[in-house]
Amino acid sequence: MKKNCVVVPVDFSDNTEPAIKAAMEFVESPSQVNVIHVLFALDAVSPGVVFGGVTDESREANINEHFEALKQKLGAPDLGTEVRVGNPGLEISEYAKELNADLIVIPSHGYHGFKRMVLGSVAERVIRLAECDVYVLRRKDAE
Amino acid sequence: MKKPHHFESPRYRWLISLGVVLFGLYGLCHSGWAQQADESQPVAEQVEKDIPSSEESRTPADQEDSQQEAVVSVASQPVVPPKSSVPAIEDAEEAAAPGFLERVDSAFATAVDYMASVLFYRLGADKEEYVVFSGSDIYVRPRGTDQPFKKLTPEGISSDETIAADDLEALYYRKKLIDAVPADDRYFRYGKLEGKEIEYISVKLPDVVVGGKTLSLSHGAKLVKEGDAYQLVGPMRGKLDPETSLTEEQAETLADAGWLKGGNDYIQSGKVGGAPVVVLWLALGAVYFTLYMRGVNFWGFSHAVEVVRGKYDNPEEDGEVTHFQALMSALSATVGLGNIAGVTIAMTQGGPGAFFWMILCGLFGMTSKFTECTLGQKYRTVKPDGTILGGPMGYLKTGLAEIGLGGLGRVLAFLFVVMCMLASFGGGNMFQINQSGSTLLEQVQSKERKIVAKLDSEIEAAASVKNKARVSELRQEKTKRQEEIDKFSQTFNVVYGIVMAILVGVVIIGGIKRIGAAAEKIVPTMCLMYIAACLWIIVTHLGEVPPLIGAIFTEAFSGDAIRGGLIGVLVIGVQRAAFSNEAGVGSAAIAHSAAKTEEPVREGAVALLGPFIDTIVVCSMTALVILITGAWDNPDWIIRDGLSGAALTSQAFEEEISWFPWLLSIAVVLFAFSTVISWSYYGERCWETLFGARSIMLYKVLCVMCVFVGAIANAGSVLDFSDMMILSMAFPNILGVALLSPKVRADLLDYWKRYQAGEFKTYK
Repeated sequence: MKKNCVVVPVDFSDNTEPAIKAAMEFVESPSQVNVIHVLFALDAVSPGVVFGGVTDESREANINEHFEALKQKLGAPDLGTEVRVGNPGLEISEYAKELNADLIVIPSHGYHGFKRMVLGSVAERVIRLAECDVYVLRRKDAE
Repeated sequence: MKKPHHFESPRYRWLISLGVVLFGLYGLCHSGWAQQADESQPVAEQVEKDIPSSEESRTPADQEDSQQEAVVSVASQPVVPPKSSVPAIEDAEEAAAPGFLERVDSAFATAVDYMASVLFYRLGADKEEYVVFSGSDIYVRPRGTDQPFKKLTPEGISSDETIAADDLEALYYRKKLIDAVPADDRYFRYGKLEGKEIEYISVKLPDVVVGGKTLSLSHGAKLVKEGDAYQLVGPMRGKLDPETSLTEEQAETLADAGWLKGGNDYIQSGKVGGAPVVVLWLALGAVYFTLYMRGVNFWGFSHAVEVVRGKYDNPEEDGEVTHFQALMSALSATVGLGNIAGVTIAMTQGGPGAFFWMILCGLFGMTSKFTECTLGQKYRTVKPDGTILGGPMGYLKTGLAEIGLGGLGRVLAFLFVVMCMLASFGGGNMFQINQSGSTLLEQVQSKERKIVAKLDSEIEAAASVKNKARVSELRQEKTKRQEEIDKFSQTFNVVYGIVMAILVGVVIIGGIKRIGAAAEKIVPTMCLMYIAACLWIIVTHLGEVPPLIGAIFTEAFSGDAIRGGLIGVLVIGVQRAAFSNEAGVGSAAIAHSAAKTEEPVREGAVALLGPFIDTIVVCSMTALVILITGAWDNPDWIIRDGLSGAALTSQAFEEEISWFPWLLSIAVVLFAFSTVISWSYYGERCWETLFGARSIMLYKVLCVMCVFVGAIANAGSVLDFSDMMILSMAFPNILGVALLSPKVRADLLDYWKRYQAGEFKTYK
């Protein structure tokens, strides 16, 4: 069952590449896969922010460099990429809506206990907010 | 980008957080914290309190007592009565039910005591024997009558010696009554004597004649056994007074008369001297690192200055800030009350010699900072967006795992992160706000407080000549003024708490970068102004400076200024320096890991300038001013006015530059604000390590709430507890850093070889 447009949220951890590869299974061309990384809002107290060395622009530029490296590694130069700042669950589902995506492929950290309580799960939120199908990749070595 | 209309959009989250904060604050206000506001202790007392003093010292109340005793002339001087004692009175005073705050406080007090007994366990302490004078005459009357109070003697109630009920007020104001209850305008206590309900008063004894010699012993005076005699512990730095002493036989006679605390077991014992474990841990760590790194704090100094000046700043390297900016960030967390209050406390407790040991500790502490910050850089994580996460949690976990101690590393990192987070709520937040608020309040109210103090002495004078009309008139005046002061204090604390909470909230929750940036820039300016004022005072007294500097050195080794000698002086100095520069605690490694460099040793070198600026430069300035003005040894200020810490420093400055205390109060507030902001950064990084970045909002909300609580709370032990957390961070940190120090040494020697070979590219 091929899809037209798939969104893959990534955090550049070890499960980033498997997630993109899984997404590619659903489409005919890598250009139909759109990778998104959501940055947390910048705090105002770290030295970099206080002295102006770190800005949302500088962070986006850094993420875009990582995206370029990823594209090269996967041999998929026309992979769609997006960087946003805000709440991950919300931004991911918004992005999918804007693109009219018909699937979101999302890796799950699978936290339990206290970390789960405090963190919640981006995957859970995406499932709740997204209007399209959501495919959750279960991590094998879940904590 | 289109803003989503959803309850989870950032704009709404802002509102929700604000709501949570306000709701929390409302809850706190109504649970009894705010009511305590007027009781908050003066800053000096709290600074004193936070660090257990190394010498047993008398409480301000005792000191006031002795002052009173000295000025009251007494007609009859009782000689020690014959053996046998008066019948015991059972106190029937109802204890007030503990409020919410007291209960919280007492629960924490237990934890604090436990922690203090570990952290401040004194190694090598000597046992001392002492007695406490508690002589008093007891007068009683049946409950609910207007009769005069009759003296209780071993033979029973005597009708010969009485005190009229009307005289109680005068006695109270002359501070002759022990444990009086001035509430409801009664000055007596309820009690039970042989089953009968009575009212009673305990009147302090005037001077005591022992062995034909008149001794001025105030209630609660402590006499320590020195050789064959018990000598009075003097009010200044616990020095013994051989003039006021009791032989063993005389002490026994006094005890038989029931005038020594403890009845038959009147000889009490305690520990004196020795060095607290945490102080030794920090000091030994610093000395070890200095020797092992071959004194990099000396020969690396000029290179550190070069690096800070930007000679090697390569903008292409990973990191957030330049070397200079990283140093400023780290300094803003350490420069503050420690430099203004800490030095003064060190010298009032340990004499000028204590400052010598502070400087020495600062010098060695430079290498502790060097080593921990080099490691912070070496094991930092550069996140995909280019921001940095580094510090002890990084090197303890990753570094120790590299040398096969992964398990230990995880435990140490966890301990560090938890302690650091708690310290960021306490010592780096509530404590700062509380101290700065009290300093500012004291300054704002200084005029009113002086008027009340003057009224007190007028009342006392009127009471001693039994001018009742005048006493009552003055008392009304005093009550009115005191009420105004209390009311203002309460409002001030709440307003100060709200204003600071909003300012901190705007920065850490609202993300308003300009305020945080402004604070970071104002602090160095304030610091320079402070140094300028100190230099002005020093220059105008230039002739006095050489002998004073001489005194610092000679007193350091003679230990004449205090009881406890050389070791006592050394411990005080080391403890204060450690509190001030935080070398070995690990906190600064978090800030320094953000520097743009690929050479960890280079940032370590920058970090060693921190203790130099903090302890050797800024603290020296305060020390010289305190010595020039003689504030460290001024009984009028220390004993009569009960000044210590920041308040005493402020008084010293006022002598020289009358308007300076105002600037000092503002500086203290700004230092506190920047310390809170800097520590919230440390706390955030620790929270992120523990719980991940997504829940940081929770940390921020807690942080803002702590600011408000810090301003209104009088929870001494809550503050002590958190402040101790800062020191306890040194346990996991120094252990880990020592284990990893071979790596640092190898890196250092390699770096230095390349530096000397001129391999480094310069950019300026």
